[in-house]
Amino acid sequence: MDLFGSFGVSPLIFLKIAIIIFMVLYCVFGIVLIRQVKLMTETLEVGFEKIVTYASYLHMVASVLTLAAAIVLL
Amino acid sequence: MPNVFVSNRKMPIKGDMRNENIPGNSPQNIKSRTEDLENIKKLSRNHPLTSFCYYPENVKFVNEDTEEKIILLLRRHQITNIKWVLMTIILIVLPAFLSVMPFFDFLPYEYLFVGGMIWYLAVSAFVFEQFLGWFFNVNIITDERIIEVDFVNLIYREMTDANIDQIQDVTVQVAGAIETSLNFGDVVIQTAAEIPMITFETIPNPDAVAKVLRELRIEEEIEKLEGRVR
Repeated sequence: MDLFGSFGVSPLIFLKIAIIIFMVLYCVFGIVLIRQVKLMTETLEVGFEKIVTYASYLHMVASVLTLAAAIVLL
Repeated sequence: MPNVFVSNRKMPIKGDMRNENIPGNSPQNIKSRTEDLENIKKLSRNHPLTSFCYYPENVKFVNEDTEEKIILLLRRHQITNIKWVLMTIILIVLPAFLSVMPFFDFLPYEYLFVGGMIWYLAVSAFVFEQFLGWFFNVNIITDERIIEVDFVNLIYREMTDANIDQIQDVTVQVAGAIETSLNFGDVVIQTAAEIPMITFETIPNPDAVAKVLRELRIEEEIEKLEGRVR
């Protein structure tokens, strides 16, 4: 703590950067998940595709909102 | 000199699947097989989240032939999801216990809030992944072939198929108290195809599946005898 304080940098800034990097990677994962669902629904159609596709988009939206919250709030 | 290549057996009449000249096709056998198929129909559930669906409606899969009919759609038994469902419950309640611990006292409220958001987002992704893994890893039996669809990870899909007439041996494996009481298990199918073994894992009513496969093999034999092979 004192080491960071002597440089005039809060240790929380490193935590913030780590969280933002993690969330950016998580958003990439969200995109991969959408691609995966597309591949799966193309492979098998059972009449449940819309719900699964909407769920993947909802997850992506939630990821972006969390990233935005991390940037704004922290 | 007698012609050893000419059989004295009468050939079945074309189109008559109940011809008694076909081995194992006596009237008693036909009656028993019809009853078995009626029982299999009773086991079937026709909704998108079913694990056992006989003649499913509105189901299509990639590389399906136009004349191909899906006879059985199979997934792992629903009870196999219990592990990840319990895990999810633990993951949902875990932050409530962690808040009692003094580890995070030094963090400001905003960090705890965003940390909570990330946690529940990750839990939702875990649930979604597990569900997709169960829902889309299916086994399909059509009137022409058996297909195993396997999504190994996020971007890797494996699809194995073998023609019905390539099936050499079908083994039903039901091992364990839960499997026996809930009637689910593995059906191991040995084939003469490039991939020698296809396993339908932890599927419900494995005996019924083996029965359907047997019926299809008989049907395929009859088609060959009658020269109706597609």
